[in-house]
Amino acid sequence: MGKTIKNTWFQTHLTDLLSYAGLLLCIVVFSILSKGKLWSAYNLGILVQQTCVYAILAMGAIFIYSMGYMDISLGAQLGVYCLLLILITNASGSLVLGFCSILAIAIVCGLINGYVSVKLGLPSIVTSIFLNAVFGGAQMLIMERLGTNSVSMTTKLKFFKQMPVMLAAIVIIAVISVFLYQFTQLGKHAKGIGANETATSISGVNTTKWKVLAYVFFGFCIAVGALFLTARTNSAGKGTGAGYAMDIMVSLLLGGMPLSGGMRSKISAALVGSFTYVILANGLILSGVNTTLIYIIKAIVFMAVILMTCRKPSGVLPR
Amino acid sequence: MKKLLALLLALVMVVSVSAVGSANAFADDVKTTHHKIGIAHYTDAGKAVDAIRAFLDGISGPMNLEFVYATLSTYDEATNLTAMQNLISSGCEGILMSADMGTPAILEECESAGVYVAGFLCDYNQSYWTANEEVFGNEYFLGTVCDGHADIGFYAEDVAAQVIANGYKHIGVVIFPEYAYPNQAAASRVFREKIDEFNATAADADKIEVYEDQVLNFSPLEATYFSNYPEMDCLFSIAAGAGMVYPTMVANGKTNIPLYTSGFEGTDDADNFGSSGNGCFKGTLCSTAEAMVYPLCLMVDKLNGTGYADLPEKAERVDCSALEILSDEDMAKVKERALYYSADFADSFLSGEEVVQLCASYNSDATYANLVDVINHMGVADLK
Repeated sequence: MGKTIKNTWFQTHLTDLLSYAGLLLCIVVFSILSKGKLWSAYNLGILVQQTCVYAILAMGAIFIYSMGYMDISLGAQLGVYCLLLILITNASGSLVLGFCSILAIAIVCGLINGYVSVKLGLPSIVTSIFLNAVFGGAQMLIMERLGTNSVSMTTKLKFFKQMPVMLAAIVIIAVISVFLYQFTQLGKHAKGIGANETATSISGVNTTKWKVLAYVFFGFCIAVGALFLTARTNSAGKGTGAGYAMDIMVSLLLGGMPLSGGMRSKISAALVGSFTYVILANGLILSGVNTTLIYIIKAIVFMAVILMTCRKPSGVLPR
Repeated sequence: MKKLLALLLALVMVVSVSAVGSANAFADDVKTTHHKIGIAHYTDAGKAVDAIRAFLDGISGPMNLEFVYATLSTYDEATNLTAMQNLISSGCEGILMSADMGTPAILEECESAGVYVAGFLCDYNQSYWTANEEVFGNEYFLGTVCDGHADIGFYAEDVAAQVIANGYKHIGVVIFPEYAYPNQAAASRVFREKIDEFNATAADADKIEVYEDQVLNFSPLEATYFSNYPEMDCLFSIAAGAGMVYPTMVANGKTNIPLYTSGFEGTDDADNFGSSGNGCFKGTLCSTAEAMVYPLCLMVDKLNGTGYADLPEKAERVDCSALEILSDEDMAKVKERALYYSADFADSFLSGEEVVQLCASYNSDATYANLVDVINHMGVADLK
């Protein structure tokens, strides 16, 4: 009996253990290979800076992936929000107005993403493809209208570039996410939808409402992420945000997030995954690995994680 | 006793060499100091990359330099900042970079970390033209060498001369957006001026028609371009023709249209140049990897705390020779003797020892004027 319980606990937490072990392995290996450079004060600072945006976005994305969904419009949304934040702030001189504007747009997009897919009976990924096209086009149009590759903010966002502020942002978003995920119905139902949407619906849960709310929180996280991403370079361009949708997916997988969502989803996957992803990229450079090999190594790690975390022969991919 | 003395002397010499840490001695009395330099390039594949690596590998010994590589983006500022931060973390004392996105933020980062930056294959006044002053006025930015000439009007003039000489009548012009590559739009204007000059005195039957610029938004040329201009008998793609235009020509059976372009990839453009292959490519332009000595020497001198007596007060943007390939003879020379094509350091314009001699730190007679002169003698005509 005791053995059975022990085995069940081990099986349940295997993915978590593997993700923590992965992060630990990255830290140990790169500490050795980089000859301690991983732990220099400068490097710790840039690790936090590089992780901040990923972690914030990943924590929002957890709510979507928990439902077994995915959103590929993340990068395009992020790019447009960064551009709008700069343009509105430059025009009005008010960062607050700039941020509130992108927050409002992000929340509206969250509503559209969640509500339209439910009402039209479309898979969520389809509406995110639509949003991705809209935002990608908008980004291109804005840049062509401006006639430049890159646009800068006249007010420097130095405050949001400081390590304590970035750490605080990660902690605050983490606290909000954990609260919503563990102590409100949003998290419970998001996981329920991921585990079995039909059963959740039949049991009387208004799945439409919780799906829309999950997307709204995701939108909030994208807006906050856009603020911190803009603060890093004080500028944005037509390529800003590119690749983030995949990066976040990889981060979540590295953190042990099951792609099929469900009850084993955890907020910690966002944090562990984001740090692992950034340390992996940073550590490979610090260790002097050839740039061409870096892609291969990342691909191998990604493949290994997929093989270790996805054990079900079917129902693995997000809807 | 003599043997013991000789052994002792040898021991003293070994100890003295060890005592100067990582100092490296060669060519009698030139002692170089070890430095770690980051090389951040906008791409990580292709002839130019292979040539750059071969050149840097070749000079790393004599120059006593260690290179760390990273890949930049031509679209995303944050990616570039991350790449530069990682290079700084890895212990690079200076970084040479070839993409101009997020440069002000990068310079701010480097300034706070005490790391110098210099440019190569990039003029730092195009995509970020608003930050031009900010970049060149920064004491941590040492200067940059362009990808050949900042003004490529000379190439447009040469292509126009060939178009006139070969009797082409309907010419298409393809460029990248002006906001990103203003020099391509300027080259197109130069090309048109030359053709207009010819048309002014030419008989009606000989007049040349140049179609309006086709702007490529960093994506391949659309097939409809050829159906829009069915009479086109020559194409001047100032934008990267080998990658963005030639595949569309192949897909639409239009390789009979002569193509003049820029950016030599050394693949289809080499195999189908002039009288080779399908002969589609008639002209191309690229710059040499060896031009990197400009930022490299400035960087090494800065790190060694020295500088040329004639070094300008403000960082400069300088031109270097371009490999202008307009004939079979040019192509044959490039294929046989250019490091750019062979990626063999033996073909380099400069040996490691010659590069050392270009640095003020290691040669008190070295001058900035000579450095600029050297990188401007790396054309097809200069190939040994």
